[in-house]
Amino acid sequence: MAPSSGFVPRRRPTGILVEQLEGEVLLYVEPTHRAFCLNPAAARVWESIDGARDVSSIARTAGLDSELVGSTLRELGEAGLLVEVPDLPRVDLSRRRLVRAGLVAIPLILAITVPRAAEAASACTVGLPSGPACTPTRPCCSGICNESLGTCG
Amino acid sequence: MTSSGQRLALAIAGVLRRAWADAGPPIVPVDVDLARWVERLIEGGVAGLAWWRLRTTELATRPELEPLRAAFQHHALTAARQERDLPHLLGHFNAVGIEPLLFKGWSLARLYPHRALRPFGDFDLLVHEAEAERARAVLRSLGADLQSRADVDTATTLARYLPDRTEAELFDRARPETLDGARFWTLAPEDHLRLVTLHQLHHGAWRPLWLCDVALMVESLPPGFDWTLCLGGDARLSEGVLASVALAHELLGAALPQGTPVVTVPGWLRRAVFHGWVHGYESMPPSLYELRKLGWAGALKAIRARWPDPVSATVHLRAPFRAIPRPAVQMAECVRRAADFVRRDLRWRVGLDAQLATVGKGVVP
Repeated sequence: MAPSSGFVPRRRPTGILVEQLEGEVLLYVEPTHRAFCLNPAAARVWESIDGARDVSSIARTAGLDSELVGSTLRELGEAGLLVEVPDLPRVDLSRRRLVRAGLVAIPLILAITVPRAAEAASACTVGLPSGPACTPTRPCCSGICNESLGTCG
Repeated sequence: MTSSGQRLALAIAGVLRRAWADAGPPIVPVDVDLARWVERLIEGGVAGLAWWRLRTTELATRPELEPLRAAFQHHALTAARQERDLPHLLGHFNAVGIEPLLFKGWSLARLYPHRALRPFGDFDLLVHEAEAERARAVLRSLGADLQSRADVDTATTLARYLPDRTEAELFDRARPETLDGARFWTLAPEDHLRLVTLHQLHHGAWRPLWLCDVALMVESLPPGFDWTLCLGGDARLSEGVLASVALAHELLGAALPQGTPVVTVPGWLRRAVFHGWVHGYESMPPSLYELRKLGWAGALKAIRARWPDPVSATVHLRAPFRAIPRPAVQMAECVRRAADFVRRDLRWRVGLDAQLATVGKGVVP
């Protein structure tokens, strides 16, 4: 953990993919294959990180409370998005309740989790080039196996 | 199919109907189980497309729909990653003199109006038979991550979907393209539509995403698309191509360009596709080699689970799409599979005996 006083956050220099989508910022951490969605307030914090600004400067730039920014930076660090995880206090808020109440200025970092099926193109991979070879004990979904090649017909 | 299954299938078709176009809010039956509907949309690969259609509706605020939004976001990220890496991947192939042909996944995804609408796990690359080993070596050299996101196919491996197209035909008709300086090819639209339709039938058409692909392809056919060329080859398979196109028109509202041969969708095909959408891919039960361990009840269950779906049975047997009742086609497919199983089993045993004999002869001192 990095010390909190005068902490200057730095974004992880490689392995992060950023995508803007409908007012939100989506981040994909390639080494861990984890994805996150930043709401507009958290996105402002993320975009203010330039490797020179400290917490209070980021708070001013993003138009947010320093305490909230500190907590957001800690979360960003824990998500693997920063070079260091800052030792900054968490703000204990019932975020779901606040969001429901319409307090959208609270920075939110949400992990994007989807079932694997949403990603896969085909669930049946035995005997296909991407999947294991078909064998007498591991038959093809189609039932047709070319054993010499290990591919399905 | 039960009435609740029928309602669910109609609700899936309802949200996907022209979802890629600005089709307005969908009509979702009020009595459909939302959680199950969402689960089926995710499993079917159309969560992003469904969210795209629903995102501005009141339904989008329902917590049950949150996974659709998450899938849409996830697709956006993975698509951006794939787009970033594709020129790099192609560049490595070009460096060893290979210009691969891209088909399915990426080449279909670019037909959709937003990159998050059509997920694809890997790049499907077709290379000449003579280049296959070199191409696989290139993939291996790129490391596990990129290797896991690309597949090298040849006309031989693609023959499971296109048995009536030769390597020379596919490559002669292919179109050259470049991406950030990297050279590659895409299938002629006539071959690609045939491939995409037959691929979905081959797998029992259980994923609604595949029918959406057909709809998008049909709507994007270039002027001068040669239907005679697309439908040339095995007449029974061509029947399947036309049935898929008709199904995309009927269920998803695909606009058919002028000159598209129109056929009616066989009732059994519509029912089978709905069944697949609702029940998804049913993974294989324990191997038939373990029948003895399963007991009678388990063995019967294992055999019953292998009862082929009518769509893939029709394509595998190249049976006509009309005239013959489907149970007869399914029965014939079952017999074919059983014969194949026995043949494989015998060959395996003979091979095993030969191996044991080699060991017995004292190869190992």
